[in-house]
Amino acid sequence: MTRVLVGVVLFVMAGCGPKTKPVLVKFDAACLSAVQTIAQVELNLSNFNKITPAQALKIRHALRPVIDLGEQATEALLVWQPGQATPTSVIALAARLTDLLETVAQLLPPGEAQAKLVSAIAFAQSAWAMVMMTINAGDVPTPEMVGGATCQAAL
Amino acid sequence: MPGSTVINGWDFSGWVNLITAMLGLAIPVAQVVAFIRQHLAPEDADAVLREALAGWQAMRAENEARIAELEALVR
Repeated sequence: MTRVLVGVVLFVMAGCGPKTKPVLVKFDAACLSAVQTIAQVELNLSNFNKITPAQALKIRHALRPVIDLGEQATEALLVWQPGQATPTSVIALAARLTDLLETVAQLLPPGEAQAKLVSAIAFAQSAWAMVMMTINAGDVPTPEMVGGATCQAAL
Repeated sequence: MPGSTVINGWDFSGWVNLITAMLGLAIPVAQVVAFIRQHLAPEDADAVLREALAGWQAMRAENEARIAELEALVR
């Protein structure tokens, strides 16, 4: 595991540097992918009677606010420019993703389907972790920094 | 960030923690590398966002239709 980790880090570090909008965009895309995966898994489970219509409905209701925020966040990012505060809808989307994970984990029985959904959400959360790292490096201001001030990236 | 190692603007320890977490989730190495490099490579972000917006809108329509279908079953 350590050798793999070192290999991955060295490979990634070669010629790379922190980016702003791309990490936010990738987070958005990862969330959409997670939602699409959840919807497809719900359909598959329902078609094979692995979950009841009531359980399926709970999953779909849980997706609704995530989809709303995903759309809002994407529209906000389309007009977002480096130096501006991170759109609040993007931050809210990250929080909703965690709620979705809890809902899905409770609704589905342990097994392949649950693992697939949890992995999809975890992947999106990893993308959010990258956003937070970029914020911490000083490239993307948090809403608290509104006023135009941005932190200087450490040299 | 306390305890972090920043090199040329990179939060090195943050990256290591993230990669460790992703590997711990049994995400294949190739996928981890591709995912992270995609975040760092130049790209047309707006084109990706426009595609994502279409995806979210399609997802909304599909989800609402599915909710209506399930509500009819549950009633």
